[in-house]
Amino acid sequence: MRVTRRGWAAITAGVAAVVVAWVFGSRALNAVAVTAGVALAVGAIQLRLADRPSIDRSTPGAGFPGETRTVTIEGTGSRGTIVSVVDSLSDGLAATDNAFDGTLPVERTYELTLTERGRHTIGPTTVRMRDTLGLLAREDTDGNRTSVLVYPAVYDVAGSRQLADIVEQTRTPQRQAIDRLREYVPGDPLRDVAWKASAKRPSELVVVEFAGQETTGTVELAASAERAGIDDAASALASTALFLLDAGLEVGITVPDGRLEPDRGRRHRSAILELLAETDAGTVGDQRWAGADIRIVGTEEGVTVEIDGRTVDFETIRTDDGTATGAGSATGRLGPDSQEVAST
Amino acid sequence: MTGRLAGLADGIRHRAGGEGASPFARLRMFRPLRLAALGATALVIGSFVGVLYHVVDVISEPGTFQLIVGVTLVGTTVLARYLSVRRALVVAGVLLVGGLGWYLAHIDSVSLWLLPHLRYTLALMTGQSVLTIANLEAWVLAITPAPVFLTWYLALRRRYVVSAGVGGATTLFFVLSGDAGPELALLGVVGVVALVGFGELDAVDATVGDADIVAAIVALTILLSATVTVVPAGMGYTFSPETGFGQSGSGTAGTPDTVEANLLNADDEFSIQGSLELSSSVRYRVRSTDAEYWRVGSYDLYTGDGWTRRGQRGPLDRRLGTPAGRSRTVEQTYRPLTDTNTMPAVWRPTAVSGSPADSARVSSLGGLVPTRTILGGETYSVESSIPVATLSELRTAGRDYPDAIQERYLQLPESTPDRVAERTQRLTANAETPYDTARVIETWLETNRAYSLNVSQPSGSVADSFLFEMQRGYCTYYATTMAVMLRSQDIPARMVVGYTPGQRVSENEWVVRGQNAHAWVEVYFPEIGWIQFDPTPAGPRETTEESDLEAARENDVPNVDTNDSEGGEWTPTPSETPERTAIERANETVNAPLLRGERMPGSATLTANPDTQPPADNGDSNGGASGLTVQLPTAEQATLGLLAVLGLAGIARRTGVSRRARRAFHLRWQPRADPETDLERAFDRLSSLLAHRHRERRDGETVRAYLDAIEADERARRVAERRERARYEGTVSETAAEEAVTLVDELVRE
Repeated sequence: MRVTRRGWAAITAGVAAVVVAWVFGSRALNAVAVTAGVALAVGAIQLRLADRPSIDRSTPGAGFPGETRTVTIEGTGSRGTIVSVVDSLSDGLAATDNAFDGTLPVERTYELTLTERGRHTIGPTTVRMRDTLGLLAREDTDGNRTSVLVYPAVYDVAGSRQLADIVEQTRTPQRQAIDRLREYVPGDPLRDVAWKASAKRPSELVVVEFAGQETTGTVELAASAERAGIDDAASALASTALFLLDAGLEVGITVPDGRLEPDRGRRHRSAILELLAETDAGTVGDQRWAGADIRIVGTEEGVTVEIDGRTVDFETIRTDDGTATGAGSATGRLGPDSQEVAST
Repeated sequence: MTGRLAGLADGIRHRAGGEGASPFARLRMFRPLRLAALGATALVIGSFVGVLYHVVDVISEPGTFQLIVGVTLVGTTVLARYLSVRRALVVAGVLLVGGLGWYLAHIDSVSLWLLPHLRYTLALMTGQSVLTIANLEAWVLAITPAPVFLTWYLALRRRYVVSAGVGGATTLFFVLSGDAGPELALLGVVGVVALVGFGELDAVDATVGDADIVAAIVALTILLSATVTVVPAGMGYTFSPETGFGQSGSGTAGTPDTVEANLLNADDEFSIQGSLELSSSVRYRVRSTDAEYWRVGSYDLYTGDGWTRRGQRGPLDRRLGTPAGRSRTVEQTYRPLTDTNTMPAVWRPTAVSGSPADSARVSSLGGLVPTRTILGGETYSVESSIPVATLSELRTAGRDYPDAIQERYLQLPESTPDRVAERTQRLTANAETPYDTARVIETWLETNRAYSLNVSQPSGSVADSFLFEMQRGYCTYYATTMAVMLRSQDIPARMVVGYTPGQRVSENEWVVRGQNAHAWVEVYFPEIGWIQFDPTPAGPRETTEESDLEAARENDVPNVDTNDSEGGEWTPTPSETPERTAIERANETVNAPLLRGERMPGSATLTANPDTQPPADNGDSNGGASGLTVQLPTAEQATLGLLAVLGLAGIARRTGVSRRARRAFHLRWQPRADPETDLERAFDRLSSLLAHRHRERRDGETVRAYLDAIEADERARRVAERRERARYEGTVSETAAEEAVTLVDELVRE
């Protein structure tokens, strides 16, 4: 238990009242001294008897930088105790109102903004209980932590010529039954466009989606990076890998912290994002490096992508055709996919 | 992107909501806790405004003051919407500085130096009443608006803690100056506590229920303040603007509950006490050419429960003077036997010599005030000019009083009951001149009130109580009442304290003891000056003093006698008491043979007027309130009582007592109406009982299944069965209802 500034003011007032009354004699000062004493005593008893507050927190899902999550935090303990709750956030997470005041029991929600790639934690929660007059305070820490995974930022790379070439080269389509027709979105291979169907519609292109789009090819990606470049490298790798997955290819990745065998599907996407969320700087084994179709190198200066022996800056891939937009964009092609992944 | 923007917008909205614009968005929702906090603010403001109200009431009509407070409150409520906190602080500063500037512009000879004002403020904060401030009314009007405005504004703006700080500090100022009585002080402190508590809870959006702890603190504070004293008895230091720190009173004037200490330790303020004792220690040896009252000081401002001396002290050379009319000279030499802080002198001192004279100053009323402790054995001499006049001169002196005298010595608190003036008017109906009026009042008090040191201190106006409720009292009561009665008839009068002549040990030497401390009255007559009157019956007072002295001698109390004082009175005419001598000396040139009852000025038909004797109806109520007039609690007491009750309810809630009490009541409460209602009520009680002892009946669970599940008592089943049958049959027999009620009663009792 700690005496707050206001508590010291109350103590000072009480003691001063006694001293002044003693020296100069004033009966009315008794009220001041008695009140200060009562207030402090009641506060001390209130805090002494108060149960240790416990905190429950909702678990926010993983997501991309820039996205927000709603966190609900519930504190329970002795009724009526005023608490200041501070939910501590590790670097890479941000929120404006993760610190709030209330009386127990208390329930608050706050918006958590994911800012940087990595595995982050919310908590421990500091609960500072005050007596009703705010004269004394008791600080308890609830060690209950929640971990939040933030994926690397993913950019729209659909406009990149080089990547389109890779897709074209690799894909050996096994076309079977037509599943459905759907509207064209940037990145769809041109040969999937159903020209006849499109001709019937004045304003849109229609592409064919095949029901059993079986394995059509495999691309291996590898990335190695310095510490300063790992975030951007992970971001580049994630963008490329998701693009290739969307294009229907099987994607295998190798990063300093691990490897995922080529595969497809939602689960694989999540696995890729999770691995990339946590991977650290370093290099990849020579053999893997040599066997990769796309090699991504992250340095302090930037990220380069080597495709078919040609090295380009990731920046040029991103901005190719000027169609690129930022991550987390709801309008970009990857938007719905990111959401889908995030919700798993 | 949009998500980020939305988050940003949220952040901005939140920040704006937390601090800036929203107090008034939320103000519209008058939540209970906010109302409670504003109520507490009203309490805090009420406490210091109450103090100021009493102050204004003493000196003039409080109408203007009430208007200013009202206008400030209304104006603040309107302005609070538009004024930012920063601007409000500026406004408060302007109000305070402007007010004080306006006040200083209104008093003469204002010092532009800061230091004297600071010293005076320090004096106020160490216990000097604000009643001593010159041009008090202007001062009150000047300083009132700023704290009222700021306290109310801050509370409206939800800055509760700062508001409590401002309001509490203002009240504390008056607590320190001694103007806030224990009740108003307690109200203020309780208000501060409640304001902080409710404010904190309001700020965190707590529920009303959470406020029970604030109520508990309030109740404990009120109850403990009334019963527990934690502040120790004082060392009695004072701070005077001229002389700095000093210990008040006459050095070794003994215990504080003696008449002497009460009368003469008072500096500029003097509060009337209840029962007091006498101290028999020797204080002075006085050599004088005549036996006189050794006057220590006088008071001009009657506060209802005491007297205050207004104005500052000045140097001897400028303040000493001679009376307006003729006078006779008396030379006195005083030798204190103990350290003392008073300088007695016969009215009116014209010259002072001796070592204590160097440090002496003169009060605004003309009395001598030492600025240092006069040591035992030091001597000083005073030459005094006593105003003299013949009876006819006094009677024809008229009422042409100088303005300064009228302004100062006719003051009465606005709250003084009208009946004081009315009764005085009737008593003195036959007195045609101020002098006759004074004599009639003096005589009436002497003959109609008994002398006693054992009285309970009245509440409210002391003069009113002594006139209408009390049967007995001591000199303070007599003198106060006489002065007030005179003032009620527009005759300038003041209260004087000092010593009676004491024991005459030789022809021109007197031994003055603590028990000789006395209070009397001076009345002003134009062209003549201040003439002394003593309404205290001399005989009983001296008897009391003598028996006290005898007792002290028998008990070998030290310092009771000097070498020559044990032998008794030196007097050529032993029957003549010194007190009588002094009175007659004052009147000597007036009319030597004025004996009581013999030649009453005006008319002696006092008892013929049936209105003059109503106290007789009350019999021997021993000075207290009569049985019929039960004293109503003051507004302060009523508020405190109400708060204490609310607070106890808070404690009951916090500790769960109220919940248990409610349940116990609910289980037992069985009002009787028709059989249907009775049975239904009995079943309700049974349900509550079973719910508490076992568990609640679940939704959809039949009564029968429920009773089975909890293995209920046979009697419970019977009541349930009765009710079930009543449901289906549609009627209940009286006996069935009766049986059910009895069974439930039994069950509850177990």
